[in-house]
Amino acid sequence: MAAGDAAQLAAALQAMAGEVVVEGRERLAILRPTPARYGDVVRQREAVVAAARAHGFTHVCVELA
Amino acid sequence: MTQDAPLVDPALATEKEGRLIAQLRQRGSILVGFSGGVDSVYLAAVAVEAVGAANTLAVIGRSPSYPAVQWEAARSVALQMSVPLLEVDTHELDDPRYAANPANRCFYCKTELWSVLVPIAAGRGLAVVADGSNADDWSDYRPGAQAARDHGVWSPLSEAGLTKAEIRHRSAVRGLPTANQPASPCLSSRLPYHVAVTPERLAQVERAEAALRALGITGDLRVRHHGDLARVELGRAELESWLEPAASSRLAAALRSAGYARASIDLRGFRSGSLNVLEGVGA
Repeated sequence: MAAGDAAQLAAALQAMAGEVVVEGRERLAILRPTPARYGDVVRQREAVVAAARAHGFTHVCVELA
Repeated sequence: MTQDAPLVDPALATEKEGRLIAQLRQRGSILVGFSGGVDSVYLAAVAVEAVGAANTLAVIGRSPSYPAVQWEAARSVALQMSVPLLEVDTHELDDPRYAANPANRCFYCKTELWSVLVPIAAGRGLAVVADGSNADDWSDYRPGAQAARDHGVWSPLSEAGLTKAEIRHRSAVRGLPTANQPASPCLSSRLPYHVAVTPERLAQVERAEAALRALGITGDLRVRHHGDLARVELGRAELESWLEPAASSRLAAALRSAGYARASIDLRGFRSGSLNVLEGVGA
């Protein structure tokens, strides 16, 4: 069971929500957007989830400040 | 309130309930493994109608993996339905095969549960021991079902073909307080496989979920335990509002009060058997 690719997901998110730190734990992606970008991630969550799946993650969560 | 609400054919649900009552009458008496959840409450209520309270016994297996708030609710609903209730302690955490939290953890838990409940039924002359498995349960990975089969436990709801939606519908018709109750599997299901099940971790998850309920979350809710990080899964109806910055700050504070250094919300929301998917088990 391959782990997700955090670096590739971070690159994919750059285009839609700016810089987002992605921590990968196997197939769980933990997103840490800046406070200014938190809203972008949340608003586009379906696209974010799709991007995460495309890069091997089955689960994606946003870390709360 | 719950994740999904499939359409129910009321006439078909009633017909299946009739089948269930006939099966129960054929057996004559029953011990129900009772969690206080939608399925076992419905089964116990129908059993009381079919064979009488004197021939029905609901038994709760208590352990640290069973939330205290659920014990209280189970006791309360049994009292309300006049179902004779017995509470016994189970000790699955003492079994290292369970505590190691393998993918088939539920097998060891249910093996412990049924090995306690089956002799109780025999000692009281009850004809069968039953669980609340329903016709939908075979779609998820459920190693506990093997333990039930090993102990000769009967699954009358499943046998009657009753789905979860039909059980909720018939529960509402019967006025059972659990009709719209979210599913609440044991606390160990919040720990990824191979993370050891300990009383401390279970208590932490229980505190976190209680803290979130205290904020007003009423629907599906799971706090998934990832070490220092809590990942909250919420039902679709509530997810959006709790993702709002002010609300999410309150949610994070509640999780930190339960001992989590880091708090997060799952962007897909609640998924039954979510950790099975994470581990690539049965999905």
